[in-house]
Amino acid sequence: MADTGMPSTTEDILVERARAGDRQAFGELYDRYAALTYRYVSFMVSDRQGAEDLTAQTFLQALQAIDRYEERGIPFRAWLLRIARNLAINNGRFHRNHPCGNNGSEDGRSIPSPELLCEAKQLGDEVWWAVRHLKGDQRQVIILRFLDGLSYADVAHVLGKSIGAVRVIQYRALSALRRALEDGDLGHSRVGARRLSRSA
Amino acid sequence: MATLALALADCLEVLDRDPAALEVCIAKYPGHQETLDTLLRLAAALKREPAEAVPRDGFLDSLKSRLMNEFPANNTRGGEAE
Repeated sequence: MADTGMPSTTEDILVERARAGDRQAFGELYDRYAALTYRYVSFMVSDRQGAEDLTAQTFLQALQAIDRYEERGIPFRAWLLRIARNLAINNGRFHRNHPCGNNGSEDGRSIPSPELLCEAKQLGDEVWWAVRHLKGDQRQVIILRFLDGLSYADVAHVLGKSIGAVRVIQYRALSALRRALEDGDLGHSRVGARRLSRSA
Repeated sequence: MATLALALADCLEVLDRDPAALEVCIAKYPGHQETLDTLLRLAAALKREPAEAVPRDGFLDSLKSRLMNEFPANNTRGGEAE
């Protein structure tokens, strides 16, 4: 898994330097969070170009707004991802249900095909494919919690919800994933559900 | 459902600290053990096999260059660290 860049004293220093106009510090923050931001938005939009546009807009807005960023217990990455989410919603790019058959793949090709899906050998592949079919908030909670490793408090900040609401959404999301795998309603065989029940 | 959501959140936090504590944690919630066990294994699978989302070659470098070029125009306070 990519380094999710846990907030640290080093990060606080970088943010302060960037706020003071230090271009190199902003560049280091970008290096830490560009891939994470791209991955997050790629689960919100329908294609690779859209994900790239949204990533660029997120950092451009962060660049313009960083002198207004106040830590106050909110890590920089949570602040950044909230910008991304708001941009996606405001620009009408956010897909409440991710389009089936489009994985943001190479050159915008729509993969994996049903045939390829059926050939998926890893439970992880099947589960992440199912994640793309979750409802908007459910999908985002799964991404932020299990892929990006954000705390409940940070996820709550990104989504603008309470921690309790995030916990409920997390439960609903995992339950929906389980049903999808068990029912095979993504075009999969039931191998995913069987493997899930046996895997540690 | 709220109880299950809290139990799930509790066990996920416990497992973050001690991945071997699955049985101990779900034993705290009799009546929900089967559901919790399945959902926790699903969560483990999500963490174990992270999704890949990779931009085009050169995209991140290109964007960084663009940001660095735009930085001085947007931030006039302070100076360069170098």
